[in-house]
Amino acid sequence: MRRTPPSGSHPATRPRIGAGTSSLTGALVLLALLTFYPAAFPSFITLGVTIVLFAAMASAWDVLGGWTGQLSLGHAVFVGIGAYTMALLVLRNGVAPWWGAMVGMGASVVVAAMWGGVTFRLRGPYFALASIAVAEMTRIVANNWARLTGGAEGISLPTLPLFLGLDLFSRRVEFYMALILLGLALAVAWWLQRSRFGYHLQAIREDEDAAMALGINPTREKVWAFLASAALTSLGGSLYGIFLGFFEPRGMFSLDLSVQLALMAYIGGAGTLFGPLIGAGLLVGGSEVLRIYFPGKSLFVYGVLIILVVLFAPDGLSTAVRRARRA
Amino acid sequence: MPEVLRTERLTRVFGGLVAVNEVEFAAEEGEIVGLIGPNGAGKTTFFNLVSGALRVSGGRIFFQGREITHAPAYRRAELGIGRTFQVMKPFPRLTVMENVLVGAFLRHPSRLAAERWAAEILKMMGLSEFAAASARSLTTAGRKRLEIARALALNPTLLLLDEVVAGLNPVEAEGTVELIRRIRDRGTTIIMVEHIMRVIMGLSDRIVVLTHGRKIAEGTPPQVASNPDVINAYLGTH
Repeated sequence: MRRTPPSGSHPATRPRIGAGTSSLTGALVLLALLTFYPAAFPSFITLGVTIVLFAAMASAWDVLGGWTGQLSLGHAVFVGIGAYTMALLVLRNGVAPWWGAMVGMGASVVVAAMWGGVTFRLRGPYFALASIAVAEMTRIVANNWARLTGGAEGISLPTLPLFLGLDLFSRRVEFYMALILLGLALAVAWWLQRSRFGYHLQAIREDEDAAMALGINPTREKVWAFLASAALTSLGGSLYGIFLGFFEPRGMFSLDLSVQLALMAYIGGAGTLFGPLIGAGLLVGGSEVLRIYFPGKSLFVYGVLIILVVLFAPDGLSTAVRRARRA
Repeated sequence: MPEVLRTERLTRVFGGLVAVNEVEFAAEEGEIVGLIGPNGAGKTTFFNLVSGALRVSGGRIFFQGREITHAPAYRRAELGIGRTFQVMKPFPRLTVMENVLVGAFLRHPSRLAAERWAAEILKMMGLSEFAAASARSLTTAGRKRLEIARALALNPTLLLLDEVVAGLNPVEAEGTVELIRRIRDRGTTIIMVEHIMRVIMGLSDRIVVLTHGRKIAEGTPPQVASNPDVINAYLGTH
């Protein structure tokens, strides 16, 4: 028997939670608008790919960092695993890059399970510190295990097979692939905003002791969040590898990259649907603009902008905007 | 009446301090047990041991006849132990409704059912009008009610209330006292820590007195109030 939804449900017994439908509409409209980007700004297509791809990876980071409140400064590990697994399988075994990306995702999930299983026993800043250590270890191993990774010289991708008749090195194709990934990451975030699992994660973020007193097993939920976050980030990493065409451990596993993902989420609003997207647009787009208008001083201006956001919108821009609109 | 909670020689040591010292405690179904004692007597530590927030140093804990001495806090919540925190711990970025919903999800995995149950709890606690407000916007009285509401959302068999009346004005206090009675009338066993003697004496079926981690007296409110050891502990006669 199918259960029919209660027709006469009135607000007193069924209060609305969050901004469920409106934010879903917003996300769909945004994704629809973005599909016109390559046609509208053909000469800025590379910038577009970068923004959308980083928005997707920052959203993936946010599953753990924002929604669950576990600050990871090691997510480059999954970007690197995604890129390297894909590239090495293509180069050494002639595997198609999309299958390589799937294997990379599996590898990232396994790594996250072990990493999370050990370090989620740590609370507060210790998880963040441990994440830096894991990422640095991975980078050093990748750099020195030259027989596997090609070492510090890096690796470059050969001609890739067509994906459903599409050239993966075409910026337009990469843009739409990144957009699909962003759509996936936003769908996950939207679900976290309203599902039981999502509320468990938010409760853990807000107060772990209170969450436990409500029957939530923090370690288990954090590990699940970490697996989802790692899987999505890894897919982003595979795409990033294709986008770059050539990469080396120093860049792919760098602390810099990990910090960037975290920063995008924080600037835009960690643990919000659109925050990481806004942050990615601002930081990637902003650094591009700054490079043009403040050559040589762009990093300084970039730093000042970040300080301003932290001072005046400590919960991120998307939260600040929402609050301003409500007031 | 069946026994809901029992502790045997329950002990917790912090460094050189024995915060809870071989406490034998029992609560029966439907009882309100008051836990009193001077500051630092070990009342909150006792709560933390029973709820699983702290590990025991010695002794055993039984809930409905089943040993839970080493069960993690979330497992005890699943079994039916709800608690409030003396230092309130709302989820500040969530709304009042969402705070309660987190607890409601334990017994009602579907969101619709969880929302219905949470709305019912909010109504009972007189928090319905604040459902959509953020938890951090509540007054102290509101937050204390939210603490109770969240614990109630678990539909607990045993509820541990840590100073939920202290700090309220007389009208608010009267309201909370009435609520506690109603919760008990639904069949929930309550153990409460409270400093306000009028409240604890009026509500409790039985009172247990702790001093320096030890149980020094136990009995009905009048028995405890006239017990010379208790008077000593509070007023200190040397």
